[in-house]
Amino acid sequence: MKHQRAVGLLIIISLINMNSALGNQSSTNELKPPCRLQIGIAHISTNLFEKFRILAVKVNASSICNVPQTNVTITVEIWKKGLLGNHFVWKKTINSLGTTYPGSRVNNSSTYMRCKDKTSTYYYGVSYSKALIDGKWQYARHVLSKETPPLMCGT
Amino acid sequence: MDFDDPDFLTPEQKMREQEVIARCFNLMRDERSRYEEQAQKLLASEFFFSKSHNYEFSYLIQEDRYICNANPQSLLIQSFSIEAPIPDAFEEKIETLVELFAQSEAGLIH
Repeated sequence: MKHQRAVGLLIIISLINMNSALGNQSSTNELKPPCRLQIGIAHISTNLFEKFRILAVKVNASSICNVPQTNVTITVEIWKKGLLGNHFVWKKTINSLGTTYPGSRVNNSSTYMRCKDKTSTYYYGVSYSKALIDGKWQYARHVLSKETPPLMCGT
Repeated sequence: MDFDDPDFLTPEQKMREQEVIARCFNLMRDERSRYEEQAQKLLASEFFFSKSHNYEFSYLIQEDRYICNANPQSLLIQSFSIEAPIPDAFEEKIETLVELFAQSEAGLIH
């Protein structure tokens, strides 16, 4: 009887260990998205102002994948904060050519808008992307700039 | 290259950024009368088509936005599109279109 109880206890302990091991395995093997999309903080290019006295608000975004991808499309939107809600300012979408290899960045560094005056305004960027990976379209969720700094730039 | 800093541009990209944005501003100044004429045509017919040596540009008005679709004339060049909100005031409508025309013709920062 004691022997049977000991075997039963051993089986229960084994099952618990197996479950926790499987649990660990599933968390480590959790499917990570193959691509990462990041967006920068809205800024004014200081070089442009110093050289040409040009003021423009600009937001850059980058995508990097750990698998080959084709037809990469990255969109960047510039928004500004307002008293009665936020306002869409400008949007640029760039469609990349050919295949991008794992670890290579694809950029959208072309989204900017001229400042009409030096009114202090809070800007942020929103970015989203899509790419053909393994024959299927993969979409990256909207990402927002981490900070919304005031810029001396009225648009 | 630090991926955590998407604003990071190589010195070459910085140069290209300066060239493209400066070109855009120069176009807004030098081609203003042409762009203003184009703006009038777009506002009247809600569509305008133009060509540069690299791209074919289709400009249209959809709901509350101006849209530009830039299709390259070569398979080696990236296509792109631009969207801008339509302002209320007529003068601002023209001004936004002048910038849209200039940005599209200035090209991309690679």
